[in-house]
Amino acid sequence: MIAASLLVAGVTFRRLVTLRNLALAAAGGLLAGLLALGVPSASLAHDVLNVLVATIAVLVIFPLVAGLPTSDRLGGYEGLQVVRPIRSVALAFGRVEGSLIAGLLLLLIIAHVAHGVAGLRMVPNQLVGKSEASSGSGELWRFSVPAGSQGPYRLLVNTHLPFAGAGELEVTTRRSSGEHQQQVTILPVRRHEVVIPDLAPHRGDLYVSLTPLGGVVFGVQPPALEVGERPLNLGVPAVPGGTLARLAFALLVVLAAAHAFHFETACLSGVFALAVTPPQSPALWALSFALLLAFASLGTALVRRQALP
Amino acid sequence: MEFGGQGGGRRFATLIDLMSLLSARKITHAYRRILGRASPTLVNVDLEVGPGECWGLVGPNGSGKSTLLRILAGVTSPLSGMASVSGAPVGSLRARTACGYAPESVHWPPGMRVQDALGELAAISSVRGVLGRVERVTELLGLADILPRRFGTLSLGQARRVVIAQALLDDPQMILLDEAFSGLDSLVMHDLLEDLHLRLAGGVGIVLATHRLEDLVGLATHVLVLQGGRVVRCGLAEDILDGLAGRDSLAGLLENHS
Repeated sequence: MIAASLLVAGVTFRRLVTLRNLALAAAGGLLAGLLALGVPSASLAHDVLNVLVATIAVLVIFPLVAGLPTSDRLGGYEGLQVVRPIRSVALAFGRVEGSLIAGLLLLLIIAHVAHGVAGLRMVPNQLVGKSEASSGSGELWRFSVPAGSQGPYRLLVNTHLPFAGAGELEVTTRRSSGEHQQQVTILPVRRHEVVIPDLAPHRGDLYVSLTPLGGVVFGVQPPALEVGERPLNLGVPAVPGGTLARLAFALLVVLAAAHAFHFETACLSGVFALAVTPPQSPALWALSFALLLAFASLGTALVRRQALP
Repeated sequence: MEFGGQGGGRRFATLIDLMSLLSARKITHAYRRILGRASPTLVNVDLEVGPGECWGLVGPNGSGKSTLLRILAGVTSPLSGMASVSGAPVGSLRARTACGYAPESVHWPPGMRVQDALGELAAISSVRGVLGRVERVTELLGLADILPRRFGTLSLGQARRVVIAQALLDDPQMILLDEAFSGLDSLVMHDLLEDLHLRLAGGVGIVLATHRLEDLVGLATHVLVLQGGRVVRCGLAEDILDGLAGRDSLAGLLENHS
């Protein structure tokens, strides 16, 4: 029975992971990646990409996995399966297992292609300053500038101005034995950009001393230095754990529903399941999996007796 | 073999069940309706099939032949009545092990390969000797050239051959064939009939539903004629089919009854 179940899973997997479906998933990922390229803010790109990947996954994967058992039922192929000596639970387990693995594989393809494409976007390479010294009169920050990087650089400083009008900030830049001093007017905005020189031919780490004048207060975030551009690194994994868990849970709901109900109902169930917080612990996951599998088995058993339309 | 509305005690019925491969008693079926009265598709149909018997189910369209086969295969529940295969209630694991069912029409998944479908269906029954069983039905029904093809590319007759092949995959004791021969070429028909004769000689039982009497000539040992869900004639094939041939044979059969 287990062997038959595994074989059903293998055939189901093979039926879902076809060249056409792989190409469809890759095209979905490409679309999500291209759309993410158009997001104006680089800091938003990651979040937007996750939403796009989840949306494309819902549009591509849910219909594919829900369509297999429901079309088999309508066409009569499921009838040929259920008249054979296999228990409903084994048949349902094989189909759910194969579809789940195939669905997750297609999801990973969508996510990786999307991240690969969106990762081509060039964003400013920001170095966060490391605090070297701090006193009531000012702060000293160190930036490990890459060897080949050429200035001038943009320094991003967070400030507060607790009164109307303008304050001043004294910025002293040192690199090796070179030094440059400048004064910047601080207006009541939170983030200031200060262009600081490269101090060539001096190389090595860049030390920036910031001294507030006239009541200027520093923000909580450390200053950052923009040194050229780099491709947007979206990091690994391509699908964050939370998104993956949510989609896997919804996929399981789609599969369980598809074994008992119509195609549309199964897809809608998955969409609703996305709004539910997925199980948080492995024990709850196992319980949810067992319950949904039991539901799918019950659906198969009822279909076997033509108790469902 | 038994037929008719005869009652008989419980002990007698059990004995009959043990002797027959397939037993159906007082099968009544109607499609459910939420409102209104459902018209019955089968009314008090009895059927007993013994080893080596081939029963032809004959009747015009809508007479209930396919519904009866679906009930015997265990995929449709009757409103009342009992049916068993090899002594086990239809739909049970044991009955399904003993039964091979070829429905009238199957819309195969168009992207699926023939070899995958036959392999999967064979393995669902038993993972032992899957390749050997697939090979045997492949040879019998001349499927070798279409095994790697997808169902979307097959002709009606080719797809029909696969439906029959999957019914014979597990060498069942009881074979249920619904309009099995329509769309088959004469060469395949010849080989298939030869194989079915061999199976009958080996003690297998067959129920073959058809609306063409010529399909039954030379194969059926008994005939059951259905009309409007009721049994109108039943008996040995030679008695019923004798003297009937040609296009109007079915009409003649029904007229003789009326």
